Amino acid sequence: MAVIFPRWTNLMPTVVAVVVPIVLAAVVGVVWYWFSPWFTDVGYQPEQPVAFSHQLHAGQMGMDCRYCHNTVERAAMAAVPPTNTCMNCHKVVKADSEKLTLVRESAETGEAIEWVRVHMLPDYAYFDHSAHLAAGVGCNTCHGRIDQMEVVTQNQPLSMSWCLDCHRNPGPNLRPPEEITNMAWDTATADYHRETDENGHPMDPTGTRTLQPPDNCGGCHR
Amino acid sequence: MNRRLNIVDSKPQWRSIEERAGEHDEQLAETESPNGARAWEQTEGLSRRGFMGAAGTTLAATSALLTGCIRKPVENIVPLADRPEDRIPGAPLYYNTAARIGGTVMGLRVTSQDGRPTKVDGNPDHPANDGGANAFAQASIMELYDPDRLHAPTKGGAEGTWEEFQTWAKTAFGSGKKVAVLVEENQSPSLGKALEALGARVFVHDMGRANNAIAGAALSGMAGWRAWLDLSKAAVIASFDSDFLGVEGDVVRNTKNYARSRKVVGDKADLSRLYMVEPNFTNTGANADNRLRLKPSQVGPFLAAVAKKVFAGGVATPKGADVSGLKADDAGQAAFADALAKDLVKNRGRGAVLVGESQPAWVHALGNMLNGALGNVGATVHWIPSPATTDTAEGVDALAAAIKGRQVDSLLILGGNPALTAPAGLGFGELIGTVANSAHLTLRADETSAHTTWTLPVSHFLESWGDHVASDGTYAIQQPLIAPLFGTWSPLQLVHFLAEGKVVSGNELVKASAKARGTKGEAFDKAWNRWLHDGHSGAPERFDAPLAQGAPAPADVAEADGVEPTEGATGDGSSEDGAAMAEAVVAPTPAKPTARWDWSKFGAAASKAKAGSGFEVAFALCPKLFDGRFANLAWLQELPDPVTKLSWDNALLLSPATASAKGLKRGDIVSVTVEGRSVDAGVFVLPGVADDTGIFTVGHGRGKVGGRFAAADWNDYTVPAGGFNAYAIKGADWFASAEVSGAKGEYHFVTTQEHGRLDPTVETPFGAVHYDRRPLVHEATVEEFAAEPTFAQEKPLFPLESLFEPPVSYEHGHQWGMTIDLTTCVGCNACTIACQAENNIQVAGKDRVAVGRELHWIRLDRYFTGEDENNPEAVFQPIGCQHCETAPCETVCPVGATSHSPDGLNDMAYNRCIGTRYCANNCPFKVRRFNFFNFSRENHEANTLLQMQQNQNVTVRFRGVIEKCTYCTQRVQKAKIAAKRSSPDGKIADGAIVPACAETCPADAITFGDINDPNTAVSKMKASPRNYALLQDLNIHPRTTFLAKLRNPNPELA
Repeated sequence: MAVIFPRWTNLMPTVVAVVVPIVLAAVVGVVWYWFSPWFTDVGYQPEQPVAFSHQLHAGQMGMDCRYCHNTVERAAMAAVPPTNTCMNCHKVVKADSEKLTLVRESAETGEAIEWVRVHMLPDYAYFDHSAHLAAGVGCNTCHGRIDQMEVVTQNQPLSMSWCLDCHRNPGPNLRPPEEITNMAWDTATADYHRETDENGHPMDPTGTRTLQPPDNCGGCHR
Repeated sequence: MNRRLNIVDSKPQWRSIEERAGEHDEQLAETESPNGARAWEQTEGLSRRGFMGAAGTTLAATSALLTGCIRKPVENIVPLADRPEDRIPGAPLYYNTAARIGGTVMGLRVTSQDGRPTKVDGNPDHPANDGGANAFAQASIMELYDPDRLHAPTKGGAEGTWEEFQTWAKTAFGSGKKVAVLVEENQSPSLGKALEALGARVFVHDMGRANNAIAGAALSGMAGWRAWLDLSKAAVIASFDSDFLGVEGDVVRNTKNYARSRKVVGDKADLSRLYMVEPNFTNTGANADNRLRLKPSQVGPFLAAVAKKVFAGGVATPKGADVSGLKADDAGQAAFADALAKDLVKNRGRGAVLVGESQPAWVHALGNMLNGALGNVGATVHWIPSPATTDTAEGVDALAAAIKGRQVDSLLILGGNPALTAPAGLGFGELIGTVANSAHLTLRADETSAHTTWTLPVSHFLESWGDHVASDGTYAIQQPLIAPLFGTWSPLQLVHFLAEGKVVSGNELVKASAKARGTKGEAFDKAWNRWLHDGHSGAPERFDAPLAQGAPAPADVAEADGVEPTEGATGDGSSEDGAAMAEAVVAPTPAKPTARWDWSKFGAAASKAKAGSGFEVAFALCPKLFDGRFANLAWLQELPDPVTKLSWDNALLLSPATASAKGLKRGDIVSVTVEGRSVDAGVFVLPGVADDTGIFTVGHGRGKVGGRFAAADWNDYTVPAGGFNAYAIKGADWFASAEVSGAKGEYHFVTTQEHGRLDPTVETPFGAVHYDRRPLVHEATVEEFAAEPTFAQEKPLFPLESLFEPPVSYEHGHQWGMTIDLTTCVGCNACTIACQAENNIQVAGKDRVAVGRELHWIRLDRYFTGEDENNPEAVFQPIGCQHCETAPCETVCPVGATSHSPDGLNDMAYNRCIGTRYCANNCPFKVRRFNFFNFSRENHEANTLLQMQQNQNVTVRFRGVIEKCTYCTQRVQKAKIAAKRSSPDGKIADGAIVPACAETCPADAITFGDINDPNTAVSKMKASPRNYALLQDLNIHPRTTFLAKLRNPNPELA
């Protein structure tokens, strides 16, 4: 009787058993990381029309975030400041700098500066800055060490699962309200524990009610 | 199982005569697509939409390849270079303004999102409409973004400039020319003053003007005076063909006050009684407690019959009034007339006799006489010196005569569309063409502009300054929210330019006019700012004290006390120097207004009246398009009519008896002839219309000239739409003898009343299961309610038990719920349009509505009730998502796109939805809407400006997802976040969340709030014995519940 399969085929089951899981794992791994916002979005660093340095303003000079982003505690948007906010100082400071040409032009003509959005949420997700600040979530939790960025870079994936991780267990990301804009505050090392209710859920900064970050669809999708 | 339901609910309810006759196409119940749907599914060849879809896909695929699918497209942030102090990007601002919309002046509160006006609501501080707004006001935002608006002045079809017009006008309207101006009803003092300065002959034509009421006032000796209504304390309201809850006059105020007269507290019902005598079946008629169908020409004689009984019943005939010559005719309804007269006499000072604009002047005068004699004046009916400056202006017929007599060299038509709306016999359009110089100020090029030398673009009320005196005398300033989108002028600017030869800002003109009114000791600048902020200048004065006691003779009135000088309502006062604006301004004292009844002319006018015989046509203002001015507002075109539920069309409405006598059926195209003029119209059989009468609403059937949405060919229609033009046959009167002949074709009407019908009889392998066909609207008379307050609490047909533990506990925190009071809901449709404006709901088009694909999140179901198919009653029921606690839609979603929030909202995540439509199938209320096409893109392509209207806090949905009422979740979230920010316990105060439907509701029938807190308004409503949930046997626990409808019919007529 003729041999249908050559002898080397005896190895096939072993090879299949070894290779297929490796390939599968590789595919899953590739998709898991390289297709996720951790890879696609984190590190996004578009070039801005004006080479504004957060490292200089927020870092070296220690300006509070809220000097420019002044609506952050009251509204959904942490508004990018109007040109006039820049000119408050730059009328006198570096008034002739070449880098500020566009800013001066904008102030004179009233034409807006077209900044490039770094932190982009989909249009169907409605994020509100003020609610997060009121709960005691600091700027650097989501935006990273802005005070060390020469050019602003996306630091976190801003994906739905990343949001939900915190909404389901906000405790580790909370800080005292007065430290909200403190870029050096690190929730991982700081020894800070928010008061908890009878179920062990963290309370709001004033200790009057349980923080209830929504984890239902309607919390963010309208 | 066949349990007996409550006895008072045993009146049969039916949606249409087809359903009643069992001729309903069962396909509708079985599938999602109704009768005839299949024929329209396919269009020949590659349609525009198909092409755009294919092109779009190719483009998307190419760009995806090129960009490598890695990054989202780059987005820019464009902050204002100089941001105003109170402007927060993304946060809405609210401004008060005022406008005359569809025949009435309303105070408005307009939402502005990042500088774009996005929504118009009622101003809660303005007494004329008390925060309510009707469908017209809600849709007026769409008028601002009308894609067919004129962008520049045009001459002979070619685009010109304002400079060219100015040069032309200096000669054409210059000295030595006989100038005539045709205006719409004008309640703006500043425009009145400008017209006076122009010194031209002023004519007035406006379908929303109460011509017959004004003539009726003159017949009563009250020339220059107007009546307005306060029905809040009325006990008996007798309406003679007045659709005061629908389209006539101050509908929002009237609805508010009518609802106030019908509040029920607990098990105590104190309801006014509404009698309606009408040829049409309006939504006012549907709300009536006792309704009588009469041919239009019989309404006047019937009122005369009632009047005779009133005067025979112990009420003195007014001094000088001769009622002996009255041609009374009770049309064989002596019992009705008797009961009505007795009720009016019994409730002296608490009744109101309303006469519709369609009735001739003598009927109005008779109504005035009755109100005066019964002491209703000063209580329910108030008279003030006319708030309009056009009271003494001649009509369009006089203008036609003047043009024919060569007395007009130059004609300015200030708004309106007289070539369409003027009486057909005048041939007014052609007459305009014979005037040497003419200009038409209008939003869109229309029938009139086709005949004028110049067509001038007008600013929308949200773009220009103005002022308005409401019908009760409240003065309000119309402030713009946005600079004119195109190069447009307001009527005020144009008239002022023609008068003075200078172009002046509207702000300056209005300020000057406001200043002349006086400020009661306040510095003018301060008063001006307060008026802008409040949206009105304070409560108006009342004048009618001397008229209240019976009907005094003229001499009594002249010396009567309590008549205060009016503040500029009748006069314009002297103009002040601009430099003195910081000073307080004292109003000049105009002539003391004198009010007097004078019946000397009445007898002669009334004796000429005659009842017609034979078939009559009654024309009516359209509850959707008014007189046709809203023809290009797609929201209103698609909106189902309150009673017929016709979408995108009007029709000749006939009663079932008349239709069968004439051998006509729904959809037959007939020729209607009035005074030798004929027009084709489709027949729609409507139960409740008077026999031998055809109802024909105006404003439809204009084709392309009405705009792209009126033409109804904007989205590849496969069915004809747009309705029929009643103006082609309408003379000066609102009703006329007519002939109907020939059925010469078929017209497909689309009516939403049959959509989403579920047949309660189900065939199973074990035989047919018959569910009791129970009424969805529970209804009782006040007597039945007193005897059994819990009549609406139906006994469940099945035990309310579940095999499952409830998955979520709803015992803690805020739990949102809603009640809708069916006793006060008048079925006006305002909620549907408010919801559409708030929630970015797109328009589907007639062919999609025909197959049940309309997108309205809240619909008004209308059921006919009663045994007589020619004379039924009707009830309304607004239905949106009921937010069931154990929602059937949620359990069938394979991807969890719809699920429950801890506070009881049925959430919908569009980005998760994959479009299986299982939820829509499983929804017992059929409130879930599916985006069969990319409706939003289609709508935004048809009208790019509409994108400016869209609410940025609500997702714009795309093809393939389900959408439905969210209880305005964006407003819930806003309140929740505000509470997290500033409320110490995180609690949201009652009333902090008002959904768009409840906000606009003119009847305040909708209440929303926390049902976990027994002290909230909604909890108190839910505690009412009338409270019931729909389909409770399904054990779904809807969060929206209804308060059963009560009627107060006269027991004598039972």
